[in-house]
Amino acid sequence: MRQLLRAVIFGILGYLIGAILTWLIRGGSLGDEVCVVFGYVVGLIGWLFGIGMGDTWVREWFGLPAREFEVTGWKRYLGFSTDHKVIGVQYLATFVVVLLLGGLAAMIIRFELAQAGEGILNADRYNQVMSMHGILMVAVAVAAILGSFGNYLVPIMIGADDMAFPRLNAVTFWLIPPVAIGLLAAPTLGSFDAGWTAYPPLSIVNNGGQILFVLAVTTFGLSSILGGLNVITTIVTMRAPGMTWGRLPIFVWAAFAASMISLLTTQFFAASLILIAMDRVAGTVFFDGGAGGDPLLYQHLFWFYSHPAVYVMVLPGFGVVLETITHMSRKPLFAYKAVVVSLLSIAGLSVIVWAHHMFTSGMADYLHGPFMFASEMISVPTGVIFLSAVATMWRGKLWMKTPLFFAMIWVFQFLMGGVTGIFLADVVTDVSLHDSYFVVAHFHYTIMGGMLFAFLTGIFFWFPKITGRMINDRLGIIFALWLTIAFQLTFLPQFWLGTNGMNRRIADYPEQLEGANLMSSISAFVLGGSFLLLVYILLSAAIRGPKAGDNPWNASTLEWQVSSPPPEHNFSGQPTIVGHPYGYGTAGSRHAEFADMAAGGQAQPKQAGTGEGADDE
Amino acid sequence: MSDNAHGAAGLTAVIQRGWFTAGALAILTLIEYVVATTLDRPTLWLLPFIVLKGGLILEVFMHSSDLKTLDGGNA
Amino acid sequence: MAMTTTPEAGHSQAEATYRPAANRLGLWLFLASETFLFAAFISSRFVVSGTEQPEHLNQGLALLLTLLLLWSSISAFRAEAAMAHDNRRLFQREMLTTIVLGLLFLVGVGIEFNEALTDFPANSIYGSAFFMLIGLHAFHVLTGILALGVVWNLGRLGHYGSDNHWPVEGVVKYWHFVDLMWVAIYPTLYLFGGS
Repeated sequence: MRQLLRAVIFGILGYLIGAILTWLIRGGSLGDEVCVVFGYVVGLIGWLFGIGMGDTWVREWFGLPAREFEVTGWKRYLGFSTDHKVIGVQYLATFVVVLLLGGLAAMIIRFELAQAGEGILNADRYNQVMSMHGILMVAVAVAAILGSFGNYLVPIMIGADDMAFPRLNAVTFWLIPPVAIGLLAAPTLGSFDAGWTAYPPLSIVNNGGQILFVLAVTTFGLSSILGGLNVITTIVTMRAPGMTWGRLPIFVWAAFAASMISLLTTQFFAASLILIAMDRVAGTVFFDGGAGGDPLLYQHLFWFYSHPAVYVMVLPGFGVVLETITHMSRKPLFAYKAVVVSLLSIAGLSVIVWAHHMFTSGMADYLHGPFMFASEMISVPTGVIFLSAVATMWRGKLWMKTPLFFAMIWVFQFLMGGVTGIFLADVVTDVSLHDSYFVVAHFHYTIMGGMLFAFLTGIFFWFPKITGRMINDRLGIIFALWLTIAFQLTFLPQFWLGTNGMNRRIADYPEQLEGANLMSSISAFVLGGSFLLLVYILLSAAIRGPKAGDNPWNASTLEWQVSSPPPEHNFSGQPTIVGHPYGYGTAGSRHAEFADMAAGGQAQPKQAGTGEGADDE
Repeated sequence: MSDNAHGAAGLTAVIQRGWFTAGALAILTLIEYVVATTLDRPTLWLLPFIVLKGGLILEVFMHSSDLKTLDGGNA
Repeated sequence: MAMTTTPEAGHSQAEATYRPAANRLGLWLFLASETFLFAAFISSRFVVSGTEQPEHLNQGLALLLTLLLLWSSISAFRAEAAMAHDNRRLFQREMLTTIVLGLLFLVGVGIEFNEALTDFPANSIYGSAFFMLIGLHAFHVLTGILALGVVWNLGRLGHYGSDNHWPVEGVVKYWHFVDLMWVAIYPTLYLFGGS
C-alpha cells in the first residue's frame, strides 16, 4: 500500500518536473505535446521508482542492499510482489476491469448505432468512443491470457519455483497502470479518434490525446516485450529435471510461441508509434506525403506487429482450450507433436502475412499475390489445432462442466471466425469487404470468440486452483449459454450488414440497414448484461464457494498436484518429470514424482480417480 | 569469457585476440569507406562488409557461441 | 539444460543467485528484440528516402565516430577480460576509457546534429531518417554509458570477481551490441548513397 501511494506521488511529481522543465526550456504552453511527452517519460520513471524499483534495483546499482518488504495477505496484490502467482492474479484482476471498461464503450457504440442518424454521439465523439473501445480491448486480448495464466501457470507447469526474472516480472505488470491512466486521461487533451490502428495522416494532425495514446501504447509494448522475454527464458532455463521439450504441457508451448512473437515483433509497433510521436512533436516528415514522406510506411510497420499480435492473442487461447479439452475429455491430446509444430509455424508464418490488411491501401499490386498466399497458408496449422481439439473430444469421456462447455463453444466460434477470414485473406473478395461490418464481425468472432472465450475457459478451469474454491457450475453454464446466444445474435447480423454496404467506424448508416442494426444492438446489451452475471459468479464463488481441494478435475499436470492455492514456492519437494503430461487411459502412466513428499502422496496423477478415466480406445 | 585460462598469460592471450579483431574491423571499415566513396552505386558491394564486421563483433566481442550452451563464462 | 532450483531459496535469494544461463539467455533475447527495433527504423529510412544522401555530409566526422566506437569496443573487451582474470586495476582503467570514449562519441553526435540542422533539417526526408536513426543510436550509447558507470563503480567497490562478474559481461555485451548496430547504421546513412 505504501509503495503504491509512493508510486502515485512520484509519478505525479515526475510528470510535473518533466513537463515544467521542458516548458521552462522551450517556452510555449504547458499543455504542448513536447511537455506532455517529457512529463510522461519522467513520470513513468518516477512511478517505477516509487513502486519498487527504487527499493531493489536502483539501490543495488549504487552498491546498497535491496530493501525487502514483508507483506502478507491481500495487501500483496497492491504492491511490488515478485511472486509469479500474485502477479498472475494482478494481471487477471486488472484485465477483467479493463475488459468491463472496454465493454462499456462497446455498449455506447451499439446504443448510437441502434438507429440511423445522429443519436447520443456526434460523429467526432463516436470516433473517440470507438477508438477507446478498440485499444482497450486489444490490450485485453494481447495481455489477459499471457499475463495472467502465463504468469500463474507456466512456472508451476514446468516445475519451477518462480519465473526466471521475478523482479522484471513485477516491473512488467506495474508498467500496465500508467498505460491505463494514459489512455483514460486522453480526453483532457482532446480524445484520440484515429481508431486503435492510429493510421496517419489523421494521427499526426488530430487532437493532443493522440500523443497520450502513443505514449501509453508504447509503454504497453515495452511491457509485453519484457513479459515475453521472461516467459521464454523461464521455459528454456527453469524446467524441472526430466521436463523435456516433448513433455511440456501444451499451454506452455502456446505461451512460448506467443511470447516469441511479442518479444520480437512488438518493436515494430513501438517503432511506428515513435515515428508518429516524432512527426507530431519533433517536426519529422515520415508520414507527411506533402513533404516526401509515406503514410503507407506506417501501415507496413504497424501491421508487421499487429498481424502477429492477433496470434499473441489467440495462441495462448489455443493452449488454454486444448489443455481444458484434454483434461476434461480424459484423453491424451490428439497429435501433440503436430500441434506443437503448428503453434511454432503459426508464430513463424505470422510475420510474413501483414500486408493482407493493405489490399485496398494502394500498395504495389505485385505484393497482393504473395501476401494472399501466405495468409491462406496459416489456415493449415490453424486447422491442425482445430482438428486436434475436435479429435481429442472424439469418443472421449466428456465431463460437461463449465470449462469444457466454454472450450466447445470456442471451437465453434473459432470455426466461424476462421471460415469468414478466408474471404478477407482473398484479394478479390477483400476488395469489396474491406472496411465493412463484415470485417467487424469476423474480427469479433476470431478475437472475442478465439481469445475471450478461451480466457473464460481458463478462468472457469483454473479458478479452483487460484482461489481454492469451486464455481457454481449451473450458473456457469447459464452464463456460457447466455453469452453465446447473445453473441451470435449480435455479430451474425453484422456479416449481413457488411455485405450490404455498412461501413465500419462511421456513426451513421443508410436507413434500410436499421432493422439488423437494432437487432444487433439489443443483442449486444443482452451480451453486456451477461458479464454482470460473470462478475456475480466469480465474486460469490471467491467469497463463499465450496472448497475445491487440490485437484477437483483429477487432472494430471503439475499445477494440480499442489495445494489450491499453491504454496509460496509452488512445490515442497523438487518435482521430477517421468512421463507425458496427458497420460489418460494409459495404465501406469505418470507425469511427475516428488522428491520430499510423503509416500503415497500426490506423486501420481490419479488416472482412475473418480471413474472419470477414459476406458475406451 | 568462454576460456577458462586464468592468470596473466591467459589474459594476454585473450586481449591479443581482441586487438587482432579490432585491427581487422578497422581495416574493414577503411576499405568499406574507400569502396563507398569511389563507387557510384555501392550498396551491394557494402553488404559483405556489414556481414563480416557484424560477424566478427558477434563472435569475438559478444561471445555468440554462448548461445549454443547458454552455459559459458564461469559456469 | 534443465536447471535445478532449491525450493527453500526465498525470492530475494533466487534473484541474487548467480544464474548465468538465465541471465545470458535473457540478455540475448533482449538484444534480439532490440535488433527488431533498429531494423524497423533502418527499413523506414529505405522506404521514405531510398539510399539517397545529401551533398553536405561530414564524412570525416562519421568515420571518426566509427573508429571511436571501435576503440571503445576494444577497451570494453579488455575490461571484461581483465575482470574475468581478476585484474581489477586493468578493469577499472579500461572501463573508464570506455566511458570517456562513449562520452566523446556523444559530443561528436552533438556536433553532427548541429551541422545537420543547417544542411538537412528534420523536415526533409533524409533529415527525418538521419535524426531518428542517429538519435536512437545515441540514446542507446547514453544508456550504455550509464550502465557502464554503474558497473564500473560496483567493480571499484569490489562487488565482482572472476567467478562472479555477470554484470560486467552483460554491460559489455550491451556495449558491443550498440557498436554492432552502428555497423549497420553507418553505411545506411553515410555510405549507401555512393560518391
